[in-house]
Amino acid sequence: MTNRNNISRHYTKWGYIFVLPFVVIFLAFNFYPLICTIWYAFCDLRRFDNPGPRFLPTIGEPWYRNFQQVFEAVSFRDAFKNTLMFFFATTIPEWLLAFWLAAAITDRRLGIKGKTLYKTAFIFPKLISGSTLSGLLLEHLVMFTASTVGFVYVAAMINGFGFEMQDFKFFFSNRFLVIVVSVIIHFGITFIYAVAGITSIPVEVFEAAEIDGANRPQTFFHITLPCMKPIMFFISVVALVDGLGTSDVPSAFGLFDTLRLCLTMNMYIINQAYMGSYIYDRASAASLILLGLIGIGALVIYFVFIRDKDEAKLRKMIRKEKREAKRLKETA
Amino acid sequence: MSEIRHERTILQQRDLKLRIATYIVTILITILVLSPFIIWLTTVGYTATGEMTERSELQKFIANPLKRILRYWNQVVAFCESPLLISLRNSVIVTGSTCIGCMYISALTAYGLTAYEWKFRKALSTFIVVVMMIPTTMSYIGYYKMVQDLGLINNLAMVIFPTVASPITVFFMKMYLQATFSRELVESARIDGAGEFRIFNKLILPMLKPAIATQLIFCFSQSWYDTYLPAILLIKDEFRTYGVAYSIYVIKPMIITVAPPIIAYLFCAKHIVEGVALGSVKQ
Repeated sequence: MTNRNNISRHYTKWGYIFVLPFVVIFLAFNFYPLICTIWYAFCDLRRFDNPGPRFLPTIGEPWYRNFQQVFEAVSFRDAFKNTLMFFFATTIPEWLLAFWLAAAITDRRLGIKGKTLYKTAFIFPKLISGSTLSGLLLEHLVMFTASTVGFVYVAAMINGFGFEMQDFKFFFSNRFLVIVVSVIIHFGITFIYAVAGITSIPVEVFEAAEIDGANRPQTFFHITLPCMKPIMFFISVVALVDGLGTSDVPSAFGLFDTLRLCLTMNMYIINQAYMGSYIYDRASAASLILLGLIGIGALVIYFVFIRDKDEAKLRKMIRKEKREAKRLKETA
Repeated sequence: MSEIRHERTILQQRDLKLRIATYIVTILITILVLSPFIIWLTTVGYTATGEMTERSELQKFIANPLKRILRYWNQVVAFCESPLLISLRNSVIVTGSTCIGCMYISALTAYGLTAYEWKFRKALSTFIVVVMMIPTTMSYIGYYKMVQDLGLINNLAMVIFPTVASPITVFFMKMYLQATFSRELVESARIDGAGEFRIFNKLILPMLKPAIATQLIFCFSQSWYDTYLPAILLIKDEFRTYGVAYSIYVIKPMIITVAPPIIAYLFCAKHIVEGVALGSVKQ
């Protein structure tokens, strides 16, 4: 037994060695800068030729100055609202579309053909995003949606259902186009992960449900979704990080965006820090707020997908018993 | 009997409706998604303002092949002397080293976390899950200041390092390895006298191929099109990467921009879905 322990101890050394490069690089190039960013939020750090970060109370300012300035800025408030709006308005239709399509395509009773084509085609926009071709895709999508909305509008006007120009205002704004384009670009990844999650569930489970007489919505909500919990966690984390930190698609529309219809928080941070303003401390404060927002989302995800309710209950009970045992010992 | 048959026909009709709806939606989205690519292929040479009235490059080529070939040759010669090639070289260096480094280091970490039982294993796993939720762009202000203080602006390595350590890739590979890893295999290799690094390179890396393919394609396209970090850290012209030098606003339809990610995708496509499916079995 001791010999075996010795052998395993000989090999544990390699665990440290294998993990070392990642830990070192991550701590030096990602984690330390993150701590610095958090520290700068409470410092004075402006202009290109700044003397370095100075803690705010040491120069006679309240420690919350940067946050106060950020919250006082109208542009930040607009960015905050826009970010939340874009997040919900893109994630909900994207998930509905992706999960419905994934469930329909993988359904054995329907037997849809051409799965590989769809899998390849749907990820295409993500693959070319950021290139000249993506500009073409944007243009194409914008023309498509705008003309479709235009048709509906004209049809409504001809028929005279009592619609007016004001009713269609949202569908003619940049925001609507940003939402459509982001949904098309991001939905491929969600779709592929969803298909993979569904195909990893054993077929027998579905067969049993079918024999018991479950219809499609029942099968989806009571069997498919609970079975793909781990991959759902992954999908939702990707959606959270991508959705709240979005800046690529809105910035493609936001060249002359004086009404700040498409300004997101990440764009606000970039504008404050690098686009000629050099207000690093305010940008740090804004990114800290964005981090808090992501933290709230992460907590929600944790409680929905990761936390095992029964296990938590068990732990609580064990803790209670331990406390009571301690109390008994003290009294004895 | 007739009742059962009647019921079955109703069910089949419902199935048919659903099937038709699914086909319509999928084919519509496929056409919508692939249409710019098809249009672009037929009108490669249209002008910067996007005028579609001019004859396409393909039509011109058919009309006068020899003249076109000579003109292409001139374009190739001009291209070899242009700053575009320099930016392309920078992009290849950055993307290549990011992909290779990220994949190897992530695989190493995932293996170290699954195969060996050491003291801080659980702590590091939870740390990775927590840190995974923080976008990398969050730390860029501190990173920019750090690089500025070190005087390492205009250094390609500074763009590579922060993207090499990616917690989300490690998490994914760990998920995959936990589902496929077998201790007996490693132990038999040890008995045969293989060193730990040799076991990793010869046994574990081929086992991780699907997971690597899945993450590689995302890593590749992200790094190839990245404009955030290169734009703030690489200021001089000779260090510009392709994504920054020829950004989305410059309409210069060139096959160089989109070809590498698509080729990478075609190489990885076989493994991609398989990889995700196996990775999601366990957590």
